[in-house]
Amino acid sequence: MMNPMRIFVLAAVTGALLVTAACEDNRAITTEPVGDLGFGINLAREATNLPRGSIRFPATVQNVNPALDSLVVSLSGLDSLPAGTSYMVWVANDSSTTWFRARGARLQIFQSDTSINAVGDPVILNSNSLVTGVDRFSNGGSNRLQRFATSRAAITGLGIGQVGVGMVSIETTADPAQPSANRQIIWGRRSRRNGNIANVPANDSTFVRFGSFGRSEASEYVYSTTSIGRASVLQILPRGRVEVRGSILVINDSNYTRPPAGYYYAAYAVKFDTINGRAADTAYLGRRTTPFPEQISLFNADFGSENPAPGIVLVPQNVILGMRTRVSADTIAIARATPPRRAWAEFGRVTVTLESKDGIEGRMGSAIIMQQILPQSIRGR
Amino acid sequence: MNRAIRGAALTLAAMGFVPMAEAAGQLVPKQFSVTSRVGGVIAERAASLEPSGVIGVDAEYAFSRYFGVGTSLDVIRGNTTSQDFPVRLRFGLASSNGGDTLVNVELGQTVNTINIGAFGTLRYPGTRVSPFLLGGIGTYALLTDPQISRGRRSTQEVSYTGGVGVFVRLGQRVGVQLDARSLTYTNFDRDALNPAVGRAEQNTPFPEDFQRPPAAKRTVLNTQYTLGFRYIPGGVGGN
Repeated sequence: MMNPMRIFVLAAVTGALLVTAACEDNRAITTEPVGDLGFGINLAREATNLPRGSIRFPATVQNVNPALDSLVVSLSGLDSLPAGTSYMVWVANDSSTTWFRARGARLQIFQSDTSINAVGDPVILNSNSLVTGVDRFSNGGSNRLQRFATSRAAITGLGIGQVGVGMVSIETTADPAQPSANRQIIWGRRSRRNGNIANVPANDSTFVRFGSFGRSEASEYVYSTTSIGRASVLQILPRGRVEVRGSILVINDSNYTRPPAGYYYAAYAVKFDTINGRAADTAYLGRRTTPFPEQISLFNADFGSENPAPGIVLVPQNVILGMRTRVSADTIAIARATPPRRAWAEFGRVTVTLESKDGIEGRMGSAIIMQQILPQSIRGR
Repeated sequence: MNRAIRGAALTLAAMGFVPMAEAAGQLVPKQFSVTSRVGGVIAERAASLEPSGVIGVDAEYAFSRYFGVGTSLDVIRGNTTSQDFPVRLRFGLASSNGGDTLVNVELGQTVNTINIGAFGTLRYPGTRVSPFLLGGIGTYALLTDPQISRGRRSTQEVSYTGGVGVFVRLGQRVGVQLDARSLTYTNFDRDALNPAVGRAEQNTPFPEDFQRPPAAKRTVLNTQYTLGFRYIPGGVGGN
C-alpha cells in the first residue's frame, strides 16, 4: 500500500501542474503585423480614345454617275499597326452579302501635339498631312484623326451597286478579296437612321460602331465599357485597385465587358520625370489574367474566340468577371531600384488598356479603359 | 469473450507492449476511479489550431477487471494558427477609397475548447502495469475570443475519442496513467476561427506572399497526450 505522504505529494504535484496549465497572467497576443507595408489606390474608369468616328455615305444609294459620289470615313482612336498589317475600308449592300474594297483614297491625317514651353504652359500644335491614292493605312495614335475619302468610282466592282454599310477591318495581307472575318472592327449602317434604307436622305452620315461586325444588328457585338450592346439593362462598371508592396505590383479589377474580336486587355505603368512630373517612360505589365489562383491568360477572351476561362468569362453576357496582374519590379529594368524598397518609385500612373492583337505588343495603345495616378507613397518613396 | 481478450492481450505481450506477469487486477469490479490528467493536444494542420495544453478528468466505473465505462471532461486552451488568417488593414488617405496604406496582419485568437464524452475501456490487468484501450463519443464546444471576434461565438458538435494508455500502480488506491488519444471533431468549421470572416479585409491582394493553409476539412483529428493521476476511492487501488 502506498504511503499517505507519497499520495499527498503526488496529488500536490499533479494539482500544481493543473493550475500551471490552466492559469496565465497575460492575455495571449496572436495578432501581429507582417511584412512590408502596402500602398494602393482604386482605379478610375476612363474609356478614353476608343476607336470612333463617322461615315458619310455616297449621295444616293444607287447612283448613275459613280464618279461624282464620295465615301468619307473619319476615324480617331486607332492604334498604329506594324509593317505588313493595315486598316482597310470596305462597303457592301445593306445585307452585307458582298464586300467591295475602297481604294484610291485621299487620306488626310490631322495631328495635335501638346508640349510645355519654357514658362511651363502647354502649347498645342496642330498639323495635318495629305496622301493620295491610298488603298490602306496603318498609322494611328491617340492624337490623330484620319479622314479617308474616296469615290464610288474608286471602289472596285461596286459600280452603281447599293452602299448600305461601310466597314473598317484589320488585314495582314496586302490585297485580300474579302475582309477577315474576325477583324471587322468598325462599321456604320446607313439604315440605322430610320430603319429603311430607301428613305435615308442624300449625303447621309452615321457615327460608327466599334466592336465585332455582324451581318445583322442582332449578331454584331458593339463594344462599350459600361454596358453590353443592345442589353442596356445590364450595366457593367469596371472597378479595381492597384497596390504595391515591396517590389510587387498587383492590379485586381473586375467587371469588364469582353473585348471585341481581335482585341485584349493589357496593363501598363507610366514612369514620371523626376523634375517636372511628365511621363518619361512606360513599362509593359503584360496581358491580363484571371484572378488568383488560376491566373489564366485572357489574351484570347475576345468576342468569338474559344472561352479560355468559363468560370470568369461569361460568354452569353460578354462579361469578364475579374482580372489580375502581378508583376515584380525585378523583371522590369526601369522599375528596379536600390534599395529594393524603392521599387516602382517615380511610377505615377497605371493603366488598363484595350489593345489590338495585331498591334505592337508592349507599346501602350490609346484606348485606356481604367487608370489612376499612383499615390505619393509609391511614386515618391 | 474473455478468451478473445486474453488472446489479444497475449498478442500484445508477445509484441513486448505489456509485462507477461499477470496478477491481481488493479480495477476491482463495481468500483469507481477518478483520473485527473494534464498534457498537450496537437491538431492536424487543416484545423488551424496551434499545439496547446489540456487538462481533464475521467470518472470510470469498472464492470469487471477488463471492462469499464466512464465520462471525461477535457478543457483545451490554445491559439489559432494566425498565419492562416491574413487580413489587411487600410490607413492613411481616407479619401483614397478607404485608405492608401495597407498593413498586413496575421489575425489569430485564443480558443477554448471543452470536450465532454462517455467512453468505454478495455484493460489487460497486470501486477503493476495495466495497458488499456478506450473509445468514446461526446461533444466539443469551441469558444472563440469575444474581444477579437467581436462577440461571443461558439461551435458545438459531436466528437469521437479513441486511444491507448498504460496505468502504473503506485499504491492500493493511486497510480499514474499515460495515454494517447485521438480526439476527432466533426462538422468542424475553420471559418469560425477567422475573426474577419465575411469582411473585405481578409481579401489580401498578395496571396502568393503569405503562407496558405491546407484545404479546410469538416472532420479534423487532434492527438492528445496526457499524464494522469488516478485515484480509486474505497481502497481499491491495487491487488
